[in-house]
Amino acid sequence: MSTETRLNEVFQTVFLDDDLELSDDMTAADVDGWDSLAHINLMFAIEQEFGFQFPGNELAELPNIGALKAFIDSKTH
Amino acid sequence: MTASDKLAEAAALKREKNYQGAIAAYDAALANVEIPDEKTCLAVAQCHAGTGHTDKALDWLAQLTRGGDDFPAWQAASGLLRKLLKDNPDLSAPHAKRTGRVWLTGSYTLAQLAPLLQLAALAVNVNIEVAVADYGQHRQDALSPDSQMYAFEPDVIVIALHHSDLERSGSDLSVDETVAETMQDVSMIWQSIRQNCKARILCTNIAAPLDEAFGHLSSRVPESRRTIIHSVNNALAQKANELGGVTLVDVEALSSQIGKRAWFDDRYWHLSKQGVSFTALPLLARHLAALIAAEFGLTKKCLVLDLDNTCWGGVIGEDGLAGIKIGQGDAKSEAFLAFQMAAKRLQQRGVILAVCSKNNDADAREPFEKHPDMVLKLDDFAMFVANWTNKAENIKHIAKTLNIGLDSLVFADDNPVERATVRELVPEVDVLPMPEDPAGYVRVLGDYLGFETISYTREDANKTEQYRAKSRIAEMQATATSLPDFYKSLHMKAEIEPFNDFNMPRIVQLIGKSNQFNLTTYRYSEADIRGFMQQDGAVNLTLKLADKFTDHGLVSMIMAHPVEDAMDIHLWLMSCRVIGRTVEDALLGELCLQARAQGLKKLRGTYIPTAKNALVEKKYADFGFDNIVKLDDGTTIWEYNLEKEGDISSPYIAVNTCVEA
Repeated sequence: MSTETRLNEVFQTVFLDDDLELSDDMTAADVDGWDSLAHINLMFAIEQEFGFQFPGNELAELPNIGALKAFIDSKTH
Repeated sequence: MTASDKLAEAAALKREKNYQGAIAAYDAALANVEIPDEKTCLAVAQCHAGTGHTDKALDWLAQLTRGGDDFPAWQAASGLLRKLLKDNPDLSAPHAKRTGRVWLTGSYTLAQLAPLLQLAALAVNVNIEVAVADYGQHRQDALSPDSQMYAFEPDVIVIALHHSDLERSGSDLSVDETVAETMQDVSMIWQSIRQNCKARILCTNIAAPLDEAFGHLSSRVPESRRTIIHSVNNALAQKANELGGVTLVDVEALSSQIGKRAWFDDRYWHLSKQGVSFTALPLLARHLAALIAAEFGLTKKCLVLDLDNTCWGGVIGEDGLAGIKIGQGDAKSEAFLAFQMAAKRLQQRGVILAVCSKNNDADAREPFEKHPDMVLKLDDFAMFVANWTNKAENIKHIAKTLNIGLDSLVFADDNPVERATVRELVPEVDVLPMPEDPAGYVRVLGDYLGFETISYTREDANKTEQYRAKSRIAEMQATATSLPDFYKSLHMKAEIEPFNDFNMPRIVQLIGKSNQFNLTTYRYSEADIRGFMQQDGAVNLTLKLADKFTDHGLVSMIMAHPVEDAMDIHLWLMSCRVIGRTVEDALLGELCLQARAQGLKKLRGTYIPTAKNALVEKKYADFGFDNIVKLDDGTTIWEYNLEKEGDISSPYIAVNTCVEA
């Protein structure tokens, strides 16, 4: 499965929304329910799925989904 | 098609929102899977929710908690649960045998734990509403009577402590002072809660962190972190024993069980004050839920054991006494021995054991009578059922004879077909997922949380004997010529005494779990009970029963207080194991005497119907009470005229009253 598909499934699980489809220019503001609580849950779920750890609160620094995908790829390839 | 292909097909159907098709595909893929993993359970639950089958979705969410501890799956499942509850606020049994409100508070972030706890509680049949405080709020919440915590009116307050509580920066206290200060802090919180509300308190102890400057020396150095935490944990246990009404959650043991490297996650602690890692949260949620279920009186009572390849290796009817594997010498035999020892430890703690085996009765008994290496003896079992009837029927027979609910039985059998049959035909019974290798039996039993209990009393240790006496009595009763002769032959003796500190743990326990002979089923907390004991003229009596077979211990109680010219009975219950012995006559008789001594003219009693107490619907009528009120919900109120009617007494029980005049 591609990073994109796997990441999409992580988001669907964390936000419990089967209709959620990610796009590169999406930000936290575009996703319903992405509050500070969900942020931590999401971070953990991404780490579990891809097997790496975000340094500090790096996830919050990433501007959008495209940057998140690139970051994951840089950690896993 | 392989199993994983079938699962992939089901997942694809689910993505297309063909939920009906997906459910059929999941059913086919999981036909031979005893415990599906948590992610699969989540997917199936979502499909059922998608087709509007809430009950099925809830079943699968409950199943998920047994499938594994993946945090994202649990978190999503608890989200789905909240959605389902929002649309269906009135859950019925089996998902909600009890309902309650739980307040979570403590020294670290509990926002993630709260929904997980709700999910774990649902899986043990308690429907809870959970509210969570910001971390560090517990002192203020406990101390101020108008706090949000008290406004929530919780039934249970969970307090989570953390090792950082002991390490306030700049503190230069000695070891003893640190322990004393922490204990003062915690007992102040506990006592304030007790004064301000009736909630039961569930408080964690402290999990010692990984890093320890003193290393292997730590246990020998009083000021080492580990020694301090150890001392605080001991002091907490002592204080909880003294105070009563506090249940400790042993997170020091839990963190060791999962491994402290997994329990603590420093990154998430610094990031958002997660005192327990997400990896460990589902485990903590399951344990808290088990204790909450125990608080609500849902502790399982009886472990039903198969024999062949469960208690020993091999088949006694075919391999013979010398051929079965049990005892020292080889790995298989030792594994079965270890399992017997684990069952024995539970039995000594008050869990009743019963045998349910497909065997000739004589064959099944032979190893217990003749094999030198058996740890379990016939005397350890309250019931021994070996025959060729199907196990579902036998299990029902066991529950009926011991007079306990089917939902208080747990079944262990090596045969997956028997397990599946029992799950299907008696879904109330918890069936343990025994692994193929007997070396794994002890862990399965240890991981099972249904036997968690919040108290341990003398009556518990003696329980098997009491239940065994009951099945012997059932035999004797069958041969006695008349019931009165039979009761006379039992030489029953009762001791009646008021509530006191010594019998309080047993009183609290009985109030929490008595269902059948319970006229009002008020689940009073210890704080409530102590409140009633303060009332003027209150009569709160306990009764202990012994007969020629056994000492039953404290089996019945009655609580009443004067209201105008009547002695008003607001709680009257009896352990179901002595039903039919006229214990109620003895206790009500004593209440009559005390009411007369206070110059009262009547006894008044209330019956509130529940799903389980139909047995006592006519109890007051049987004693000659007149029905004075009948409410729409089935509640009835009764009066007994002490001026016209005579005293009440048991024809079979010799009563010794230890009550101050």
